Amino acid sequence: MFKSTTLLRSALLAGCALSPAVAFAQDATPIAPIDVDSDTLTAQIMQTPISGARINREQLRQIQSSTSDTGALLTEIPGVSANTGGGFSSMPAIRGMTEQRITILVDGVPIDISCPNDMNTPLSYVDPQTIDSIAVLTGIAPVSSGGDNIGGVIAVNSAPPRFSTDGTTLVTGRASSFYRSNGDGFGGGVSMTVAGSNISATYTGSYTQSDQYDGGGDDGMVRSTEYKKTDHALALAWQHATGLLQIKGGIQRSPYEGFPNQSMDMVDNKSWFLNGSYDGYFDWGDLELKAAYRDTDHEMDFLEDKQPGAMPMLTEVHSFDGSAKVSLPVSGHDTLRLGAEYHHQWLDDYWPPVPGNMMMGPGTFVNINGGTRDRIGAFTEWERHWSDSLSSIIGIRYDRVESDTGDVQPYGTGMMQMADVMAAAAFNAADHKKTDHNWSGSAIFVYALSDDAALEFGYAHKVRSPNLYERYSWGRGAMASRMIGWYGDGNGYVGNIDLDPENADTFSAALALGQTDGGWNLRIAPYYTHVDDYIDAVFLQDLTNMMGMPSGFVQLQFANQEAEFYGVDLSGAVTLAQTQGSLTRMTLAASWQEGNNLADDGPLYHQMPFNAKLGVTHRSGALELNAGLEWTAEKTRVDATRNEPETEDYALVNLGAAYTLSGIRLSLNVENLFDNAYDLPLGGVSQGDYGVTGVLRPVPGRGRSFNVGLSTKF
Amino acid sequence: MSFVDQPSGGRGFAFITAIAMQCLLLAVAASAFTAYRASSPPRGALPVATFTTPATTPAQPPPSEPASDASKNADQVQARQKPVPAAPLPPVSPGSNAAGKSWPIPAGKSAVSALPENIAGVETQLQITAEVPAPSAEDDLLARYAQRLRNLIHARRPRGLNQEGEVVVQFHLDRNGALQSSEIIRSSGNIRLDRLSLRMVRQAAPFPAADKEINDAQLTFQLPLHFH
Repeated sequence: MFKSTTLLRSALLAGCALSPAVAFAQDATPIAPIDVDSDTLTAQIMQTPISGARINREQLRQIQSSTSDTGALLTEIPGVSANTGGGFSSMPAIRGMTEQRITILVDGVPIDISCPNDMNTPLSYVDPQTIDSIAVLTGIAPVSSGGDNIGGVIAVNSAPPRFSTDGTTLVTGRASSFYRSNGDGFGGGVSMTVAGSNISATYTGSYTQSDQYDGGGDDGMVRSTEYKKTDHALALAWQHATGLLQIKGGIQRSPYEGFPNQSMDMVDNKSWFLNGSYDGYFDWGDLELKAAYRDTDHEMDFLEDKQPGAMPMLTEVHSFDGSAKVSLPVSGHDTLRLGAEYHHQWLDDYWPPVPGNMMMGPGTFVNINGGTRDRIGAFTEWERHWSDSLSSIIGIRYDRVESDTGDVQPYGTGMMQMADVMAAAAFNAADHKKTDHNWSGSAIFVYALSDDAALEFGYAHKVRSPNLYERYSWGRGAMASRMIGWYGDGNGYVGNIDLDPENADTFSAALALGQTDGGWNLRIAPYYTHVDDYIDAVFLQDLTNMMGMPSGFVQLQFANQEAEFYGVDLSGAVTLAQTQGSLTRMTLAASWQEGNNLADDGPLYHQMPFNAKLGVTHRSGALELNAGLEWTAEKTRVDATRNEPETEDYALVNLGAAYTLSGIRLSLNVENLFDNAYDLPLGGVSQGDYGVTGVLRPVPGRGRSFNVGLSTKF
Repeated sequence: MSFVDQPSGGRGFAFITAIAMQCLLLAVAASAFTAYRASSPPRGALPVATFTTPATTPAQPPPSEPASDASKNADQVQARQKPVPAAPLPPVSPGSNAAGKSWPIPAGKSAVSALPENIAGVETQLQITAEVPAPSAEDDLLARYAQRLRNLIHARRPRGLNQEGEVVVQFHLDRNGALQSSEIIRSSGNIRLDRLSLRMVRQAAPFPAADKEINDAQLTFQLPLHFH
């Protein structure tokens, strides 16, 4: 009796407990789940999936202990090279197009040039330890990804905000630190998120410093390669009914950064920014609003290797960027994007007098007086998925770029300053205001031939207006003109108010074979670009030293010329062995490209020679091993106008091992294992060494370095 | 030098524009928030809460779809607090069928094979339960109607998102196929995926009219979406 009563009670209780769920089950008719995948190449057409590349956090974690230079680590991607700058500010180039010709976005915002030598490049404001992902469009970039460029796009992104999904407070983050034996470099990075279901706050900070590095073999110390910087940022996000509101602010301070291939060094850089964005997801489509402000104070002078002497040069920049974009899914196959952008740059560049110096006094040299560059752009773009195997994006955009600047003045009116006195008078007499009307267009197609083969091809006509230094640098004195330029060649550059915008037509194709995650894959991407009004430089005069003797350097002036670029990028991977819990893969990447100045029939400056990288990685449980071989051909195609040095071919071997224990990853890398001496093909000339040794050599690459890294997630 | 230190007109313009943009941002955010409050309850109190039962409820099957560790944990917590079915199909008990409610599993094996394994699993369960009446022609109609809705919604899927998450949408149609209501009953924790899921359903509407044989009560549908 007791037993049956208990059973009955249990059954009743269970019935009561079940009833709401049963009622629920009765109310809703289930539909089989829908998979919304992003795996197919045609679905990802916006990211130009075959010619483009993406470096994610996991890949960054493996290389972050080797470099603090985000631009340099992008050279892992075929088609991307890096022109040497400071220790954390290489200038990336895509398919031969230098940094000034491509779009670089940090969290969706462009960062303006704020230095006559482009020392504080956009990527100098990020640290490999704290970046979440980097997307690089090496081929045709859709016009919606940015205007005012004639090359690809590099987009660096922080981690998207995270929210708690279980109602509790989410606390998560990661931390890392590193040490590099060559140059005694060390640093660390922290990222920490505290979040509820709707509000999220993330702090990101990093610190890095290094002394001068040693070149390989007998190259000895490479002077002016030391650096130090700190970044802090706080991001707040609020996820509400229809979208996501984000505000991010941050500061950067770099007290010094040496530049081996420039006359000057950076002795201070302070920058702060505030970004706000709203992403709304409505039934009619997506709305994206962005506003960003950045203030930069930059100072150049001489660090220890270039002393004695002093010559302060100050640059102040204020930038505002605002944009509104909508994405309208007009049918199951079609999406229409419309957008408007506004970008304002204000720049003051002046060089205070040096007490007691007759050449650099008695007044202030005003290089650019309140220069402004305002860009208003609008685009429309149509993305269509014709079928599961064919997609296209076609877009058109217009940018109106207006630049202007005030009158200028030289240090003084002495006889030694006569070249600058006359140049200033001519500059002040000219009309400075320039307005460009730039029309661009792009068309991209991705066609999946089969599960193992896909084709991407595209055409773009893109236009870039000259930057403020290209238009408004005016000094004609040897010293004044040698302060201008981001080429690292020691030559002097004079601006040109009458420069026209560069017009580029690019054809790009890419073929993908195999599966990205499968046993093997291979990608081949050829391209051709023709540029009208390419901003290169023409010879003005030989520069002399203080004694009136030829210095070996020349004075050039920016001028519109005609140029072409062509090449092939290749990458692939094959699985050598795979067992339960272990994987061994071999990877290959290679690039060949050439750039020609069609006006003087010579090669363009700083075009990377053929280079190839072969790597083997092995992962077994918590153990990771890798070995890499890099080979770069000799550079004999050099720009005669700039007296560009030739460089020899070289091969480097790198080894690495990492082990993860209790969530902490310890890595040890040996870079340039055999300590080979080599010259950087895009390094320019070593002016840091020249002042001390009197020998002008190309900037040597880093010698052997043992790098130790620690990282963890929590 | 006075002309060096003096801010230009551009500076003031930038400042004013910056303030204007910030105000615009705030206004849009505020209007979106206000509009939402007027039309539906806040996210934290979505209708999912109306199904809250004691934590001891043994009715929930474990999630059957693949999920990351984080979302699995979230599922478990959610299953304890809010017993919304985590699997695509709600729990089936003989009682529900005995009570006169039909279950839209088609009798034909060919139709079942087109559906995911978990649904086929339920079919097996039904077959081995003696009390379950044989699926009727009405069940078959409903299953086919549900499949048509699925195809129409699938055609509205966004491309190239590169985000991961699980969302369950519930929506109700009238006999003519017009969308009466739609709501998230299981959030991914990512507002974008939640909103895009709702958009897929809303943009696919209006749907074809339901067959006369299908009961009004069966026109509430529950659709899981798996973003990856």
